[in-house]
This record gives sequence, structure tokens and C-alpha cells, in this order.
Amino acid sequence: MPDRCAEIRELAPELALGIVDGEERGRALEHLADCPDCRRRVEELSEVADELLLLAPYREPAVGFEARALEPLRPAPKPRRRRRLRLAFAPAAAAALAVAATLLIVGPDLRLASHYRQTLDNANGKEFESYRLRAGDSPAGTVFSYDGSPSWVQVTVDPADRAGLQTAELVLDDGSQVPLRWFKLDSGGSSGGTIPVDPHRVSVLRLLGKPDSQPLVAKFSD
Amino acid sequence: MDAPSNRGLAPIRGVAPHVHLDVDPSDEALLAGFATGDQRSAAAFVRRFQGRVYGLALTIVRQPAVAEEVAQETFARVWRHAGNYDARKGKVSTWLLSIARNLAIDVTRVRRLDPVDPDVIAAEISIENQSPAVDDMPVQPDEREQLRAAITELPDDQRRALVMAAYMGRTAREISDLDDVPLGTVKTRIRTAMLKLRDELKVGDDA
Repeated sequence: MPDRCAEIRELAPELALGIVDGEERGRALEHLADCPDCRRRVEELSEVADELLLLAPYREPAVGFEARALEPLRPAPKPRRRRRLRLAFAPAAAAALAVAATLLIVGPDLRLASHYRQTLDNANGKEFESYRLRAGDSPAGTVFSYDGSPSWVQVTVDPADRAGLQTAELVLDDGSQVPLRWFKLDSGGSSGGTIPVDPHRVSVLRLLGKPDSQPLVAKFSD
Repeated sequence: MDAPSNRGLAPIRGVAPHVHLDVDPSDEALLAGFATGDQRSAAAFVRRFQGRVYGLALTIVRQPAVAEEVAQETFARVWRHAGNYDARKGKVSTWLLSIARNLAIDVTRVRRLDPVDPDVIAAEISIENQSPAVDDMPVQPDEREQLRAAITELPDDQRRALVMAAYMGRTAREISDLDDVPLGTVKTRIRTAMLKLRDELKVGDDA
């Protein structure tokens, strides 16, 4: 058995339990992608890990849970139509005005969209987004995410919220965490680096400080 | 901590499957209906799994209000990511519970909730669980009891390390620090416990 297989088999129970993080996990997954025997071993142990969770006591939540759980999932009501402006102009003048207004408003947007597309094409990227970083409900900075090869994020923190920040992590949609080991704010309150996951899988980015301090959070769904 | 991703089932949002709720649909059919926004499927899906999801969340976070938040968010995540469910990688129930477990662990860490005594969780999962039968669970009830018995028979230190890893998301390094035990010893305890449980289930399969 190759040495690497022996190492992965030692680690297999921890991989199955989902308690291996960071680079060690990344290296293990690379090996598993190419090694069916090791993959089978981890899969067997993953079944055990899954089954362990089924042993948790069954408990009915409080009455009304179903409605509360479903409420956020209902389709949002359609926005009310705005009342039409009554144009006092003759129809032809009104039409000309509408065309001019549309060009005035939409023209810069079209140019911006075209420029954005061209920029992404130049860098082989798919998407560039920004999200508000918050301390509780208060704005605390901005997070920029780039979906490309590689994907990356850039964080800027407002001066009042920079003190004591020590670590950064992504929380993915499945609840798992990816530490951002490159995180260290520079003198301008910024830090950035590549991320090993698709930004669309990210639920939140968190900046953590001392144990009793409030984390700064950017929700990628905002 | 990856939850199973979802390439086996084609993206289903926007394609309303015809779910016959009067014939006890499979978990996968309910999930597909849930993902399209079908309200009856969504309600049936939540009803079917709420006791398991909430029970697991409560086991980890210990506070009913927080457990309910975790359970609600679990269903919201499932709804948003139903298109990523891959039937080849596991049953709906295990996918759902792995999401609930990760969310509960995450909430415990972010809110710095009081740490649970792993021996309490170990005692809870060792007690037979009078849950309603749910079709399509990966382990049949008798096998579940077999697994429960196997956990009870583990040495205390192995059972404790296993619970801290499986239910509390503690890494081997964290367990080593918390229990003041050498890292290698913790890894051995986890590995030995997991291999015993796996072998126990295999023996059950062969019987």
C-alpha cells in the first residue's frame, strides 16, 4: 500500500466525521479523487457517521413550527404597481420624451454592463459581487467576491471595527467552515486572498476577534 | 465538512413534479416538490422530518429556542439547495441531518453557548428512541438498536471522543486540548471506535 494511502486510511475516520479542516482536508480530498480504495473506505465510515446522527432523540418542536419554518419560504408578494403618471403632453411628445428619458437613464447602465462583461472576459471570471460587512446591525465594511479561476475575496473594514480582528472564515451553505489563513488586515483595513470554494457555496464570511467580541459578518445572500 | 452535494438529481427548481401526497411519497419525491415551491409537498416534508431535525439540533445546542432556529434554517437551506442533493451519495434524511448538525455546531461556536457534556449526549443516544417509523431511513430500526448497543459497549474514553467528534464537531486537536490527552491517543480512540461500529454494522448485514 503506498504511504499516502496508509496516511489517508489513518485519517479516514476523522474525514468521515467531518472534523478535518483546511489544508489537511484539501490534500486528503485530492488523494481520494484518484484512489478508489481509499474513497471506498471513507465512504463506509461516512455511513457510520451518518447513522450516528440518526441516534439523536426524536423531539417534536413547539406547536406551530411547521408554519414558522415555511413562512420564509413562501414566495414574496408581487410589488404593487406604481400609479401611472398622467402625462399632460400630446401623445407624440410624450413618446419622444419617454425615448429620451430611457436613453438618458439606460445608456450609462448599458455601457457599464458592457464594460463589466469585458472585464470579466479579460480575467476569465464569471461574477464579481460586493456584500455589506456588519457588526450586529451596523455597517462595518465591505466584502468583495470574485467568481473565477482562482476565486477570491477582498475584505475592507471600517476604522471603528478593525481592532482585535484575528481570524476570518467562510461558512458554506452546508454549515461547514473554511478558514482563511491569509487574513491579516493591512494598515488600510484591507485583506484579501484566494478561496478554495465556489463563492456561490458561501453563506457568510465571518471575521472573529477576541472570545468576548462580536464577530463581523457578511451574508453572501444580501 | 462537506455535506453531500447534488449532482445526481437534475436541477428541479421550476419544474413542478407531480407529487401524490395521498400515497405516501418517497423522501426524494417530497424533496423535489419542496424545491419547486409546492406548498403541500413543503408542509409534508417539514412534518416528516421536523422531529428528527429538531431533536438533533436540541441534542447539540441544548436550548429549545436556539434548536428551533437551527431547525428552521435547516429547512430553508434544504429548500434553497435541493437542486444540489445527490441521491447517489446518501439518503435525503442523512443529507438533511448533516446540514442540521453543521448548523447547530456553527451556532454553538458563534454564540459561544455553554459546552455540552459529551457524556450527556452519549447517554441520550444510548437510550432507545420511540420515534415514528420513517421510510427510507438508511438504517433499519433493529440495526439502529444494534449500533446503539455497540456504542454502549465502547470503552468510555472512546465513546466520549466519538461523541465530541460526531455531535460537537470537535477536531482531534480540540479534543486533545479539552481533555488534556495526547493528540495521538485521541486519534486512536476515534479510529478504533469508528472501525468497531463499522464492523458491527457489517456483521449485522451479513447475519
